[in-house]
Amino acid sequence: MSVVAPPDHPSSGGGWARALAAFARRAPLLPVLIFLALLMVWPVAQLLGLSFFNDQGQLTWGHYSQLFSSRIYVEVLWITVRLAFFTTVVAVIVAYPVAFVIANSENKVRAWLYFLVLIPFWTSFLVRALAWMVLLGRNGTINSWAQALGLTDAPMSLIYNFAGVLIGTTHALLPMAIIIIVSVMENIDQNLSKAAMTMGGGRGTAFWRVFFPLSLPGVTSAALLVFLSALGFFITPTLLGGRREVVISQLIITEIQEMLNWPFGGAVSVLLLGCALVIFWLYDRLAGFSALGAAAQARVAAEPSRLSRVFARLSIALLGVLGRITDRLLALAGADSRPLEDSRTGGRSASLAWKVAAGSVLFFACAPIFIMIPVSFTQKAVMEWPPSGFTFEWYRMYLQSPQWISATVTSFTVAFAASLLTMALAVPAAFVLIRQTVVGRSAIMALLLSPMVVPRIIIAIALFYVYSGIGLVGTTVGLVLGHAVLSIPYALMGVMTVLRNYDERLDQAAQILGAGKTQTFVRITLPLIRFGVLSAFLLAFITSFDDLTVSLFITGGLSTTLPKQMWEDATLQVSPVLAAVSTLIIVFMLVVLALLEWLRRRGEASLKAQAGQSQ
Amino acid sequence: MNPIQETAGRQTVDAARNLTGRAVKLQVEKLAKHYGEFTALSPSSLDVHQGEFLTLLGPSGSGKTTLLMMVAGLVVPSGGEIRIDGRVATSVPPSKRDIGMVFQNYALFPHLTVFENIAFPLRMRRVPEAQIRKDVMRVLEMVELPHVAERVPRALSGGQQQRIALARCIVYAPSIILMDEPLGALDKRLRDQLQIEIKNLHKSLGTTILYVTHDQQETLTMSDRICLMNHGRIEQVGTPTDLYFTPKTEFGAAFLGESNILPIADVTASDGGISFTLPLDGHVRMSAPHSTVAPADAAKIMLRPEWLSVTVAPPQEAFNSVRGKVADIIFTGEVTRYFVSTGSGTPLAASQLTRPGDRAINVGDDVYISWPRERTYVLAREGAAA
Ligand SMILES: Nc1ncnc2c1ncn2[C@@H]1O[C@H](COP(=O)(O)OP(=O)(O)OP(=O)(O)O)[C@@H](O)[C@H]1O
Ligand SMILES: [Mg+2]
Repeated sequence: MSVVAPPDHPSSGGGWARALAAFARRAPLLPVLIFLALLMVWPVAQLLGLSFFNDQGQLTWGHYSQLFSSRIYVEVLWITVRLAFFTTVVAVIVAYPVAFVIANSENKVRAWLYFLVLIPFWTSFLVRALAWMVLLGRNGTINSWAQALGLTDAPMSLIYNFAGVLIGTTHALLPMAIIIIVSVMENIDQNLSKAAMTMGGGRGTAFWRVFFPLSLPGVTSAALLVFLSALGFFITPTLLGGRREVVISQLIITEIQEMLNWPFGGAVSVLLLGCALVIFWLYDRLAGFSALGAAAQARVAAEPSRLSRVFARLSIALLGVLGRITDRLLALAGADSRPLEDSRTGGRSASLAWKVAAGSVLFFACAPIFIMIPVSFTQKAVMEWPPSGFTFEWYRMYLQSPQWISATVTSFTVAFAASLLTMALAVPAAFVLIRQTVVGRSAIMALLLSPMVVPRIIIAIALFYVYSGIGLVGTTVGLVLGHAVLSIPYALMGVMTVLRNYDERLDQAAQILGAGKTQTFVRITLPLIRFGVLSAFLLAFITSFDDLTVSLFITGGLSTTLPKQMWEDATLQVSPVLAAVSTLIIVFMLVVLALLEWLRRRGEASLKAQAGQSQ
Repeated sequence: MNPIQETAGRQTVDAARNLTGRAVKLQVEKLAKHYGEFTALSPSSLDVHQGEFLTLLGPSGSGKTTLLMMVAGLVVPSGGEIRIDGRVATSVPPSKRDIGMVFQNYALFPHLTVFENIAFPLRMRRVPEAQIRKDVMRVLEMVELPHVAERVPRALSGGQQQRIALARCIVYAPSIILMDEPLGALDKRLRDQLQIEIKNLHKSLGTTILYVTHDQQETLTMSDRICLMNHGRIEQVGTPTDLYFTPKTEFGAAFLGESNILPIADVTASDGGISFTLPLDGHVRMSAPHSTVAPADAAKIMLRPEWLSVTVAPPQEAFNSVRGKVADIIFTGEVTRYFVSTGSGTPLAASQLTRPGDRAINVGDDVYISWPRERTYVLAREGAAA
């Protein structure tokens, strides 16, 4: 991977000076590349390498034969893949109507609906899993209501089985699916569906043959990212699963934390990463990577593989049939005679159906989170439904516990430091990536975004392994570095989005008017992009503040963070202090989210100001 | 020198002569820009004199902006050199080149007031506050907008923003001003008005101006010299009259103004110039006595519509002529345009000043199109040595 400039054809003398200058302009990419190479690529490579050697340092397949010879491990793998598969299918199907309604609403409504998706998106997996424990437990919300309504006599077992885990993981990954699908749907031209209808298609045909195929890139990339995240998941399965729902990440944790069997843990990690790569490969064959990414358009790959051609032909036939069936149904319901302007892609009855579906899904996504609030005031000593009485006891306990307070302070300090570091690395890189042509750009982007794609558990144990060699385990510095690795992709994408909308001619004008590079940045660029940069900072902050996986391995004693403290409490005894802490976290998240939304609006206003004056 | 030039536009020619006497302000030498395999500008050389108004003219994508941006220092050249006042400036940062630039979209800073926008270059030069106040108000008065000083750019109309951009550019009196289609986004009326303002500013400040436009009329009325560009190359540099009367290439002849371009055959040398036949109307033999193009290189002739006469009677001896049928007549006011088909190719266009009672020629009439022999302008084959 090289960051050297394309050979700008240094024709005349001074070719060397030119090449050097070109290199200097792209140099701001280097720190972040080096950072990720040292703290992500190198540790993961080492971890994976371990699995091929035995105690004597000789090359061996032993760990793998052990892995595949025991039925337990194969079963765990099967359970993991099955869970990821069902989670993906359910999450994407459920996400689609919500995304559809959001993308087709007018701006104000859209902003609010989107906000409702962001609340669960940014509430930690841990808090949400705890909420489901309260909802689904033997004495949980659903059972107590069902009994009160006389629907059942004995409590149903909703938790500690596959269904419980599936509900939990789907709930965990649904917001991400919605966000990805919305981002693609927003770019579909509203007039295309209308055009299809003017050409004689019914509403059903217009939806299935025009809108749906165009939204498919969103669906496939949502599916890919949900599947990959579900593969590496362990929080929800641990808290909501029974003894039979052990997933591969739990296995890795056990091997490494309890057995200290690094090579075998490495082998399991290779397996996990291998699964992820196979999925990537399949995805590439079927959909092509051009479909991945927020701004993906329905672009046909230059040379479609045979597999994808068959797939494409099948899907066209299928969509035609679906369209005709829907048209018939709409005709039966008398909904096909409405004027075109009435709606976007369905008649009013269809669009009511969309709204009802979307509404229920949004309720499913948001409501469970708030269950923690009443529970935090219960007088009982367990997190149970219904809460009885009212007390601040659990908040008092939280405030008086040195452990909890120290964890809170650590979390804030680490998140602050990690996001500062992240920004220091990501902002210069974003400038180069947006403003310069860079050789090997896609490879560089792949590296920079890889912390989002490589299962987090693998990053965590890889860091643990490397850290233990250099004494960084249990240190704040180690944690800050680790969290920066996780936050870089989010911050980078945030800053790149702002810069893409920034009119570079303003900088050029400033330079011509006599401002140096620094002056230009301080007086012109920064004031105009500060809202976007601040929201990227907050994204990085939340990513770190929320992280359990990396903290789980590389913290201990005084450096314990809030999520880790919660995790330890949750796996030992489930006391309402957890509900109190969760409530505090939820409130904090809501404040940050409101701040982000405010920043987004301010940022849009200042970008509009730029766009407005060029007319 | 072609006699046509001497009869037409003598003043501008003189102006250009004066300019050549002046010092060279900006020198571009073998400057080139490649984007990967793509050549945005082939090695090009150009001298711009002190106080000159030079326009870059050419079709979209011909490399005008690329050249301008390299002069400004905003795009790094792939090769060649830029000299300002004789000193090499190729690697001098934009802020140190003493250049001003007016961008097509104005590039006013949206978060600063009009006053602060104009004050920006002065602040960068650490001018004392009192002086800044004086200078900003002076240029605001010059562009007749002193009342908008405290507004933000968004609160101005397009034409006002354009004038503020101009004011910001001249407030620090840069010795070279670059303008990239500065009037492109404005309506015709504002454009005409600002053209005059820019021209007046140029006269009173004596600045060297490098200007880019698509508008032919703008080019012809404003420029001291024109640099014609095509496909990332400089085709020809010269005064507006040079380019109009003696284009070096067929591209130049077709791009600037209207023209009839006709292929010729059977070229031989004769009385100082050449003689040839047109593959129209029975291959009449004609001559171009003043042509400097070698017979072997002569490929086409160019005839401006206003050089042609349309008559029913055959012309005199000293004229070249072809016969044809009037296909169409368009009356546009002061000028009447005739389209005469000659049997092959597109009809020839001829323009004549309209006189009262000009009803002698009608559509369908057989006519002669004629022009003085010495006005036959011969174009060389592409790639032929000039
Ligand atoms: N950053 C770039 N990367 C690749 N190609 C470029 C880049 N900038 C310009 N070009 C190409 O260089 C050529 C010349 O561009 P330039 O902007 O100089 O044209 P122009 O003469 O100013 O055209 P217009 O009149 O449309 O403004 C074009 O073909 C353009 O596509
Ligand atoms: Mg241009």
